[in-house]
Amino acid sequence: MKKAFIIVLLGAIIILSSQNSLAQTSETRDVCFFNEKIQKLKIVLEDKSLDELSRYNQEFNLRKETLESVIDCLIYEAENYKSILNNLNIKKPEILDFKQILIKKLNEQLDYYYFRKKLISQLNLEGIKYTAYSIKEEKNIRFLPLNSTINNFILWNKNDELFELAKNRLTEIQKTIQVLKTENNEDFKKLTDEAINNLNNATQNHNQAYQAIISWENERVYNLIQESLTELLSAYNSFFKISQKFVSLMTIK
Amino acid sequence: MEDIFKLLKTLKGIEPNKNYTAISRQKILDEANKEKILVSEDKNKFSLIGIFRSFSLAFAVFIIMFGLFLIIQNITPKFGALNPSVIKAEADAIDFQIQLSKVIYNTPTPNSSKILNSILNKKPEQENKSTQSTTTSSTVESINNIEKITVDEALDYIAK
Repeated sequence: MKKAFIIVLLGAIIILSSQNSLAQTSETRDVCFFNEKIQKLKIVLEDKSLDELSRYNQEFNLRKETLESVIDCLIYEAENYKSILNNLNIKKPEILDFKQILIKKLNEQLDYYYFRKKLISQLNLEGIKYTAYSIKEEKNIRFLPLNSTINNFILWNKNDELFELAKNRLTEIQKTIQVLKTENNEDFKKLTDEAINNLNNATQNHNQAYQAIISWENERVYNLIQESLTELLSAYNSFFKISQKFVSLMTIK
Repeated sequence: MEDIFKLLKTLKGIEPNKNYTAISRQKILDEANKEKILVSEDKNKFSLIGIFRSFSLAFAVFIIMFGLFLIIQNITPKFGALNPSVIKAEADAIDFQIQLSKVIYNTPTPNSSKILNSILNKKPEQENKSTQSTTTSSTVESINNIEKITVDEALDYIAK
């Protein structure tokens, strides 16, 4: 029984560490670097010394390989987004629901790319060219808005953690100030009110940013996120002033 | 009369069987020992119960004190809440988010997803260092220096 447990534990450790190293190696290899292949294609197209057949074959192979690379890059990007979304620390159920919608749409994107990649082996030169054109169209019309929303969603969730931190910080500061019974209570109250005001404004913008994200109104999101973070920073400015005042009081005492 | 005295003298000589004496004596001594053992066993039982009682009492006192400690800790404010360096660290994290959102907004995918991945996979302790902003800008710089062909550019070239 004990031996079996130890073997299972060791196996789990080995598998987990190998997965981690695999993830690292996939990041270091740049899946989305096309410069070399495009350069080779340019050279073939400009080479007057090649006969028609060689030129056709080389051109066909290079276009095909480059298209496969591009699709691999797009697949990598979608898988990357899925991985980031699944690793987000989300607690609220409505936000989890929206995350699932995003994952579903990423899966649709992946289905499309895998389907296109599979068809490549059956295509001639004209087919390759047309596929490249239609992938670009599909990507920009259907998938680009999704990727913007996902970027915004990821950023917003990270910001949400900071907002939780700020609320806790404010609560702790208010508790600490209540304990202090000093003649400087008025100053503390003024600074605390400032912080509360800033935090409320920030939270309002933060919530509006989320509403814009789930409404797919990506143009509005950037400004709302920037405003919410700027106000949050102002709240922290007030926290800092309170802490400095507190420290100076403690020093005098 | 003399017969009666003779009979009484013979009666005086009546003694139990030696074996019977030995057996009876042993039995009596055994009974005495058993009693001693019983008494000492009772004493042991009593002390086990006593130990158990005192232990559970000590444990109960400990639980109550620990509970009180937790309650008091929750009620009293944490003076660490006003530590300036902690507040500054949290403010730096917000500043980093402002810079990050600017970069992500201005970077086309798939590079933006790569930037997000590399930043979000870092541990929190690493994030709070001041090197965050330089990491973001250096990632963008390295992308710009190579002048990578974008996905759209590559697709355009293949489609030509």
